[in-house]
Amino acid sequence: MPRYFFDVEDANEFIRDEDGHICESDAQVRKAAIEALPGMIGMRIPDGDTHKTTVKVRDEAGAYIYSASLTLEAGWIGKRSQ
Amino acid sequence: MFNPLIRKLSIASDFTESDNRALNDVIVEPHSVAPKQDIIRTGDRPENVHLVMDGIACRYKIMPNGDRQIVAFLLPGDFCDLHVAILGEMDHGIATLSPCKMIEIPRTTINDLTENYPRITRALWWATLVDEAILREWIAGIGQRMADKRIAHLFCELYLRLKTVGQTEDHSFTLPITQQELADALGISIVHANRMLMDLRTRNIMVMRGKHVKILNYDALKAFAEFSPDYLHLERRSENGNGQRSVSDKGR
Repeated sequence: MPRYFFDVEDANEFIRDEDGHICESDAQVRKAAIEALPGMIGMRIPDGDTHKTTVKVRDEAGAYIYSASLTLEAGWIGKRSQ
Repeated sequence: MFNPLIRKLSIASDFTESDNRALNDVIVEPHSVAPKQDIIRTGDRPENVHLVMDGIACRYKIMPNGDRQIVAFLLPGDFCDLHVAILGEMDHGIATLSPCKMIEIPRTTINDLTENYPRITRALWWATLVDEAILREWIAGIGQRMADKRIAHLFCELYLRLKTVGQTEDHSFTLPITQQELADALGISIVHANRMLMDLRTRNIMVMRGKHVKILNYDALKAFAEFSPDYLHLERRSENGNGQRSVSDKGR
């Protein structure tokens, strides 16, 4: 059964998955990548107005085969006087 | 024979010779259970109480969509179902995660212990209350703790619980569970769990490789997790209110 590695790009940070885990199908790879995003992006309030988190999936040969990302965008509407 | 039960329960009571004898009589030859086997299923009415002697098991709930929430890790010295004789049917399942050695204790033996050995009864109460306290801590963690602190917190807890039953060496221990099982206990995705383990490794705080866990900097792990061991109740309640900690959580 093939093993896939789920690297994470979170703002300026890159976390390489050295362990990987077995996925039985492409659908499982896709699900694992996508369902990880909301939890990771929700971990803390970002410093700025945008925060992007990406999961990039490598196969055993080291080639990237799938990518999913989630972007948080926030900002005030209209002018705010201090 | 190595008796993790006495080791654990000694935190709560000073046992007499006869208490120790009674607790040693409980420890018969354990039987081996393969990993990922159900010990008890939801709806069962078990007649025997199961005690983990070696390995790791879990309490779990299966959701209607098939997802699993692990609600407790059961380590050597832990009862799986101490008071099931009082409750009717099991409202959750218990399964092994790793290969386990288990002992089945007949209900009648438990009844004999609780009717005739007050210090053992007190210790069994203590064990049940600590199980509840751990569950409370997990609920608070899942509801309020950020996922990165939650995972660090769990490792502090497992380290101390394993240390209590003599299953740690220095700050290393065997934790034969998968990252998926870890994620199922923390209520996070497996990719997220892996990412946080990588993060702890990069920061030289803790390394989990396969089933081997090595805490490189316990003080840093504890500080990051904002971990306080109070809920494990490793301190004996004393008459003058000054507890005596049986297992130190101090870093080197």
